[in-house]
Amino acid sequence: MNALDTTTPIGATLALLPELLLTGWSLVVLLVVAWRHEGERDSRFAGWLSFAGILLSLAAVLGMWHGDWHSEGIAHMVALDSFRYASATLILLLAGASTLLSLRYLGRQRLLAPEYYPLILFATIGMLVMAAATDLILIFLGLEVMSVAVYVLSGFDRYRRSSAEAALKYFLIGAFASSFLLYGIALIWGATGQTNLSLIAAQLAGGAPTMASLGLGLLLIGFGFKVSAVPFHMWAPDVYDGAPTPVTGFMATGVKAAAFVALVRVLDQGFIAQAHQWQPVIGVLAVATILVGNITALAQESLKRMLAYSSVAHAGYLLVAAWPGTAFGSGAVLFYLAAYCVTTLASFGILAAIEHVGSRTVLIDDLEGLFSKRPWGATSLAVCLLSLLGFPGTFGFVGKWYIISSVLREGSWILPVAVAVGSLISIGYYLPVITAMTFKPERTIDAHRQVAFSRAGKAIVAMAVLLILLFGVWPTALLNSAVRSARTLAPQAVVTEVP
Amino acid sequence: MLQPYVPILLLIVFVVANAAMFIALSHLLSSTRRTAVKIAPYESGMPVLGDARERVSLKFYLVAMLFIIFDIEVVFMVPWAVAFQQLAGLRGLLLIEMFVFILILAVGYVYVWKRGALEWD
Repeated sequence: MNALDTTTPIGATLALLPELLLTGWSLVVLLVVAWRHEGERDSRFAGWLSFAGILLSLAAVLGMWHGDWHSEGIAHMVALDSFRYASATLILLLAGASTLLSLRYLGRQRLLAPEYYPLILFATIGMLVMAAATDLILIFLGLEVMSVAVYVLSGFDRYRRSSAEAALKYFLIGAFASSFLLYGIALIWGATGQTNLSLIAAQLAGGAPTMASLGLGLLLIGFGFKVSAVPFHMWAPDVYDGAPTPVTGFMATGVKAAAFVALVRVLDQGFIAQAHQWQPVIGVLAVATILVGNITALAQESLKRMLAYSSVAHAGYLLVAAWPGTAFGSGAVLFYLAAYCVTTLASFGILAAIEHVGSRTVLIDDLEGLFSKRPWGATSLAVCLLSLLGFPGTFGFVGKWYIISSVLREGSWILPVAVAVGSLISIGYYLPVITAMTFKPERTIDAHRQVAFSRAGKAIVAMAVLLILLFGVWPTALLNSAVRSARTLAPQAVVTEVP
Repeated sequence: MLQPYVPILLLIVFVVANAAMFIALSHLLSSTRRTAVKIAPYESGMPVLGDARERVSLKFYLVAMLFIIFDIEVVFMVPWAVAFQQLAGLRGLLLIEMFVFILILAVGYVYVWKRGALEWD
């Protein structure tokens, strides 16, 4: 049972078990929504139902991981390796947390269309497919399933102008990016006659023709848009700012995680022999993303926009981790993704609880005196920001440490310097938030009265803060697991020629 | 390697040159005398009625979009039928897959219907 032959119908079906379970469940949720779509009660019901589906799929992933399901011969279409299971676990946890964070928010902001939750499920299915795919066509398919659902989610607050703008902008830029990706896939197929990553690697082992390199370049542009790497980041701040806050949290974490694991798999499994060609590109993108993201974040007054630019900057750190192409580097990608996603999702969860009903912009100055009114909320936000900053003793610090050491092993010193300089710059926008919350008095007597954490929101944020502190002091087990997972990424030896 | 593409390149060059030549010739050889009648928009010889930029009800877009979605999904059955003929060993699987596909379509259809997207008023 542990070894599946993905060329047989049964094997392929079992290999896609988590995705298929979630697909079936999302159809059930859609039918429930078709009958029950009045008011907050039905919306919450759809939310909890979706959460149950995510748990079901998570159980399947963990079962496959624990049972060490692997493929017989090379994996056609779907990978069965720990890298997939680890990234799928992360994605499902993010989806579940986003669902719970949305329950109260949608009620407060009167966004009572329960379609929200099936859309989250559809996007999650796309992300899982991206994390699992070992074939360029399947990666593209997953990307589209994910993107189309997220386009709709970002415009979910449809009566607000900025939300509609975000959806349209994201849709147009996303379609543009997808065309780059597809053109890249077409050129690679033209050069090698394959879309399977392992078979491409076998074809290109002796060197890549110009057409394949060109295709790889276009692939990198497509992924650059999706992970919001500079200079393809222009859409990100506006879209993150305009979308409803829990959706922003989901976009900044889930979408980025899925795009990064797919990128790492493409680079490490399909094009590792071409590392000398893509490493300079990734390196330049990483440095540009770190510098532009951090410097632009300094100028932001709105907390949400600041977090948006900080998420752009973190894409730069992740690109640095993707640069070496070794198991240690890709393990650092997984580890830092976990650190970044937990922290960012919790920050957006706190922001969602702070926001006023109606007017959504929370300025950094608005947080003055939050600590005296809401000590737990303010402390949690401070811990999250310190972890994003990379303060010693937090999850983010350990993540950055491993990124730097994995790059130093490969003998680059520019990238570690860029990470360090970026983190130094980021002090300039993370710390003012913390000082505003703790050291300044509130402006009016009834300040922060609107802050309302739901019970689920409190639980999620508390769990995230505990994880940040726990993995900040005891990262060994998680890091070993990440590196072990990344080791399964090496191109698989092609035994038989597939017609 | 690029040898087979040379005719395509030649064709592109010829087409562009041809179009450019005709536009240039018609500019060089024609005489321009603009009158009110000549510069009026042409609509099948009829006087123009109203403005073309009218506001159209959103319902038309919704119906058109739903039509296209279901239409494309039916088109998907054609390659499936061809594959069904050729892959004799996998017929059972192909049949099940098409039923699953139709089931997903049906769920979407039920959703659209119950949610009232097919009501005109």
